[in-house]
Amino acid sequence: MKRNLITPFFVLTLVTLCFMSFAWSQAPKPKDYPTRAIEVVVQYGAGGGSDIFVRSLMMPARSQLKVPINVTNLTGGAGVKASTYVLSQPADGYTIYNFSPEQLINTIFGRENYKEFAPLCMVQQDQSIFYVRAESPFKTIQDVIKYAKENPGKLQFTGTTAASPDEVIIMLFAKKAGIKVKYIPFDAAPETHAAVLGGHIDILHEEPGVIMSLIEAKKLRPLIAFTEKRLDKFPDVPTGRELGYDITMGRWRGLCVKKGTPQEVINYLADVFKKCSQDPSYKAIEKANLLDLRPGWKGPEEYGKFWEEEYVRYKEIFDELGYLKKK
Amino acid sequence: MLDIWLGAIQNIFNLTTLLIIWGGVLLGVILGSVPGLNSTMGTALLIPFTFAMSPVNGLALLSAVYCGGTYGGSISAILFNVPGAPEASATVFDGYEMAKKGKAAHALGYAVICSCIGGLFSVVIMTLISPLLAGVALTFSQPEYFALAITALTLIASLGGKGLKKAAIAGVFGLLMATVGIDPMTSDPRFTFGGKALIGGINFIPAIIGAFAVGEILARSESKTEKKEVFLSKISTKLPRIKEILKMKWLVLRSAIIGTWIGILPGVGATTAAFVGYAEAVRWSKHPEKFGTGIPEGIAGPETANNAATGGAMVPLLTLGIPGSATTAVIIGGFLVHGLQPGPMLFMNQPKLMYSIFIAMFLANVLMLFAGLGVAKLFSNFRRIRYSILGPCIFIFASIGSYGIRNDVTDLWIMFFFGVVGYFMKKYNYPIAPMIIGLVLGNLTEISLRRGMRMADYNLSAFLFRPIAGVILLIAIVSILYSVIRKKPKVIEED
Amino acid sequence: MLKGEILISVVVFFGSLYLYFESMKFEGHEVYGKLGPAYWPKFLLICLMILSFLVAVDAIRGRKKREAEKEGTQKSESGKVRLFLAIGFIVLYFILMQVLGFILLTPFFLIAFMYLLGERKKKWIFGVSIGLTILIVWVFTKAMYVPLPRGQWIFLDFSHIFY
Repeated sequence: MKRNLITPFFVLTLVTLCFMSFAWSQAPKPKDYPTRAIEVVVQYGAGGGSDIFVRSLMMPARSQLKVPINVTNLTGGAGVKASTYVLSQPADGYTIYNFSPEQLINTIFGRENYKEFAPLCMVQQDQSIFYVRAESPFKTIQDVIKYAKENPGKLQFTGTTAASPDEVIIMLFAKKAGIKVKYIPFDAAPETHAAVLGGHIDILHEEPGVIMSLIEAKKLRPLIAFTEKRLDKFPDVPTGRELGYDITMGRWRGLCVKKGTPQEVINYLADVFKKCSQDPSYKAIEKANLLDLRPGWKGPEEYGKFWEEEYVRYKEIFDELGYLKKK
Repeated sequence: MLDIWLGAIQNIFNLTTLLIIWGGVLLGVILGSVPGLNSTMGTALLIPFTFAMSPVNGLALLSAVYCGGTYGGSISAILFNVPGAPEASATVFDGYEMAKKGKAAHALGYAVICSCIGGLFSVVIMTLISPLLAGVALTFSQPEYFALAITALTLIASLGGKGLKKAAIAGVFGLLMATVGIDPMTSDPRFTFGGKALIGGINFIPAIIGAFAVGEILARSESKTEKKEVFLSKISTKLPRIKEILKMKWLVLRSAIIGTWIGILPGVGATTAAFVGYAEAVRWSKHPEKFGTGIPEGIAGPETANNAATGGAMVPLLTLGIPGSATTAVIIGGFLVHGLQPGPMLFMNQPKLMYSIFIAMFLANVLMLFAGLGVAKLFSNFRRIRYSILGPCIFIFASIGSYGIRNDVTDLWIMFFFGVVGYFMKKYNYPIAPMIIGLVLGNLTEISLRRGMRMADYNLSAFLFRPIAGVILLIAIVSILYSVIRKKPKVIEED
Repeated sequence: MLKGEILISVVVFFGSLYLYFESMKFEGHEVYGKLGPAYWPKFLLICLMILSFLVAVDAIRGRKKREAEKEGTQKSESGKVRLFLAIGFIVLYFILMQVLGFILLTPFFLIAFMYLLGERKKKWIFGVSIGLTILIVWVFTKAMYVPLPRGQWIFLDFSHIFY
């Protein structure tokens, strides 16, 4: 009886050791990490794009890291509150932060400093697309530009919150197309959808995932996509690049920790999250949100470089918009 | 059509689904009634579990939690002066005062019955004319939102009783507090004094908990607490008589319509609905000066409206994929885990699922009557405890309730600040309700004005002279004039 | 009472005046056209200044009538002491919470506050204080993942044992 028990135990140990050595070969598992629950801080409310992203990525991560992972929503002040909280915690890898473009923008405005964080990984990059409602007289993006040239400053664009990545993309487009437009920010994405559907605002900037149903029902028409190549989902929608507006931006989502976290913990976590991003349960949600159309994965170093690039791009456009000029 | 309905009924009326709905409602009521927990959080936490369920069961569970949570907040609002959920904020005004008079049972009864009526009304509306309503809601633009907010704000004048100027100061102070933080239109920090503490703005939950609950605790610690508690009088959730409810039929109907409509509008949810419901109850009342002293109308108004908003908020979600409130935004996640994208296509392709959700919500609202009474009974036992024990415990729950909204320690200080402000306001006869109304509606008022004006190229007449906005504003002006005229003879009588 | 009435008006008036000057710093840029960030707060602050002036005038004019009325319920000296102690406890609680964390501090706060409110039954004081803290920590952190404040340094490690 006893022998019967020992054999499977032995095999199990061997298998575990094998697995461990396998893990070792990729990124060494740091000693004594993790031993307790990890907290992941999200600076946006429950149910938003970033919240869904973090929660769905953490589902497989729980079984990978073998400790509880708690997602905390700490909203307010364009993420400044959440950043302050993360920085108040020790740099031990137990507090992970959903790093978003807002942190770069806040740095430009002097509200926080993104250099206080250490990049972990970028997981997804969304696609920016402009839409009009079905009844709109604009059939193509050329119609839009023509109208804007005839009526400078009349054309209204909308996106989520002021001084946001949405505004950067819209204004970058306006600059390259040589037109003057109005940007009307709303506090939450659903309000922008309603404003465009109701005909109160001409053009919507949005990622396709959240409004797929409206596009399929032909209530919203995509006009231009800011991607490298045409999307399979919308083969008739030209890209910005084709039309001579070389913009390939889009909201990206990734994770970071406080600077000073041991490098081995960073590498280990990046590795774990890479595996999680391949997990079927995460993939399914990514697919449902149309987030699988563009490669999004970036490791710690690449992601850090990407921050720098984006920072320069944002700063330039905000400078031009007159945001940084103090009277 | 009939076979869709039959299929939907089959979907819902089986033991598992019924149990799930019952469990969801019960959980919602409990989450709602504990300050610091609310249905938005509850649904967000439940979504991973719904992954394993069928879409019908999963969505039935989420909408049941949503319905239950919207009512649950009123329990602690009435019994402890601490709204358990944001939606119940307006219930504090009259609910706690009524409980203080020893009529906690009655107050809870009104809250649960009116919540049920409001919820059922909105579900019926949603089932019958969803697509039509969603279309009408889209015609609302910034001027209409502004008119709506202004109409509710003008009620501040009637709330003050005798001291109109003091009520106005309280209201304007609330509006001013709403401007703290990052300006939504330009991203400029306002009144943050260079620090990071106030950059997130002032949430109305810590403010209302501070002004009401903490203010009360401070006042109680000043006065001797030896005397026997009024609350020791028997607390059972004896329902109000049908006759009493029937007396308020027009008020309840009006609140149900208002609540459903505000729920449908994107960007404003059950909390705004509750405040507008309260404001309209005051406007049409024959004795507006009695509001805030603990009258059933003051509970029926907001409680009908906030639960009506739950059904309302589902209308744009199901027909357009646009959530009408914070919790419905989370419920989208419940669709996504099943690979469903709420919106017009879903409505066309899966009508059976849609009607199943309608039936589930209808049932949830009926079951809420029982779950609500049960939980209320459980909670009212705590009222038998001496204040010297209960007071500190309420304070801890008040603190967690404030903190839990955003997990931010600053909110504790905001609560304390409003506690002190509330203490002095009470002492010098400044009404507190106008301050809270100002704080809740401040952002909507300011931003709809500035955003709307920007869209209209700063042309005031283009902003104001729109058919719907104009009519709403006209009603506001006429009712103000009417209340001034009506008040005149009374002042003379008093002198 | 009258002194207090006027004092409040004065505080509101000068507070608004100060904030008015504060709001003049808002207009850093002109990206968003005419109704800038300062527009609405300025309007509100002017309203507040006018209203507080009117209330003060009312208070002075109504003085005679007020004096005839009985001054509100006379509060005892011990009541005032209790009020200030309560405020002191709360302030101390919130300050220390960020250092000591929720779980360590709350029982002490509850015990002190209950004693202040006149509760003397030790069984109740200790039982409820410790029981409630444990219940809250369990429900909020384990079931609902609310990150209650954990404190700093060694206290952070202490809190991590529980949540």
